[in-house]
Amino acid sequence: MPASKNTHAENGDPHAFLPLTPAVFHILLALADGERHGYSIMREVEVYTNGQLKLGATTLYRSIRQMLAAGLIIESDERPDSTLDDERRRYYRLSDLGRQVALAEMQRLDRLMAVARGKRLSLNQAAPGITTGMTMGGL
Amino acid sequence: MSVPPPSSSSHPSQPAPKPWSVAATLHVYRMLLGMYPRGFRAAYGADVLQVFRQRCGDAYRERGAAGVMRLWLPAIVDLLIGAVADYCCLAVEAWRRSMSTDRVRSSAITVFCAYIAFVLAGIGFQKMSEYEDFTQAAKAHTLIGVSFNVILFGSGIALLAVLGGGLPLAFASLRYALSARRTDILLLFGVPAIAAGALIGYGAIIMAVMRGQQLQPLHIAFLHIAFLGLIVVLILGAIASAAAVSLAVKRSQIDGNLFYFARIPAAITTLTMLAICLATIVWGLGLRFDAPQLFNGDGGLVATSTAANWFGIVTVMTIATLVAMAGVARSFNMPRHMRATVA
Repeated sequence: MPASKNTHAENGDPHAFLPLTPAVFHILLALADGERHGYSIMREVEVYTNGQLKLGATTLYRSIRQMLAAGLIIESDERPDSTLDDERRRYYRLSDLGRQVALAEMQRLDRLMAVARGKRLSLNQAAPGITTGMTMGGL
Repeated sequence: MSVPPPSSSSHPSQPAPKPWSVAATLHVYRMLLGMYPRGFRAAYGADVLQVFRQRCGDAYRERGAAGVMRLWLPAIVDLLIGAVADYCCLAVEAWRRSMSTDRVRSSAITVFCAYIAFVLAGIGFQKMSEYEDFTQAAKAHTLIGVSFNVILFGSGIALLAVLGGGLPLAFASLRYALSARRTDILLLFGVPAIAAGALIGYGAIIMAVMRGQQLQPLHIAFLHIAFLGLIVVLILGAIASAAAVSLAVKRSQIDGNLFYFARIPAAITTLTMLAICLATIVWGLGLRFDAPQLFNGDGGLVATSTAANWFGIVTVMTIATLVAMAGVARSFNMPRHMRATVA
């Protein structure tokens, strides 16, 4: 990240984080419903992308480390039910900044989609293997 | 093959015996995870293994050993790409840190060396202006008197600032040399003592030679030559001492925060040098207009021209001040990401 971008990010400007990497955006989306542990994030992403995106374990935790450092997510102290869960598991939740960054990325992608629609591209012209489900999952 | 359903992601992993395919995969995965930097492994190694263990367990329940084997390629690619990216990040971070530390370190050394050159010129000024004629002129003429006092007062402030910024660095360097058993650094710190010893020894020899001698023209000529030699010893000693101490500090592993702190005394030193330099110029101009007989006389070092001496002193002071200003400006103009890595 360039120095000027770093400066804005340190000042809490959500737009300074954009564009997000796919892994970071998907983790933010997975945490939008509530706190989750690492494997739960991985499964959630896999489910809502119809198995198109499978985050690797190290990719997941390298992203989590980066997002914790940037203040996009917070490690949660609370556990849903300690009797049902492994106490060593760490749970994560969105921070206010993380929520703002996710919204800013959604707006960015919305604008991009509006431009794409303006180009009169049709999903019927899509390359073989590209489906509506995947496109939506990618967003 | 009958395969059990996938486990719920939120349930704890069961301590059931692992199938050989899962156990072997986890063993290889744990070994490959060892490629990662220590910091990442310490912070997230257990979490990564736990997640991968669950993934393997689910894959086995869904598709058996074949399902576990299908995890291998993406897992290895993920591990390799992540490890390379992590090491690249660490290398960039280390490079930035060294660049920023080198920058403040070289700035501090630059200001210190410039100050030593400035002090040499200041000693010349002090020797020139210590005679009764000059002190009388300072008392009689306000401009000369005020500028002379600014020089005296400024010298004290500059010395205190250099000690305030330099002593912590010198102590840190010495502590490092002692703890790391770096005799080369300890020897470098011995150079100023040797230089001081050489200067005192040279002075003592001249005093011994001249003791009891009547001042004949030949003796006066010898004294002038001996005094010039003393100046040469002083200058060489100062250069050697400044270079040795700078090299010692440069070779030592010192906390970047100390250099970061040293920027403030360095800035005070530089501002004081600027004030002294301007005061010396004003002193000379005041002497030129208020006491021209002194300015045009031979009151300089070794009975040389006062004006030429003053010009030489002002030139050295100006160059030293400009060099120090450049050093301070360089340390204060660090990009933000460099400052962050220093702190």
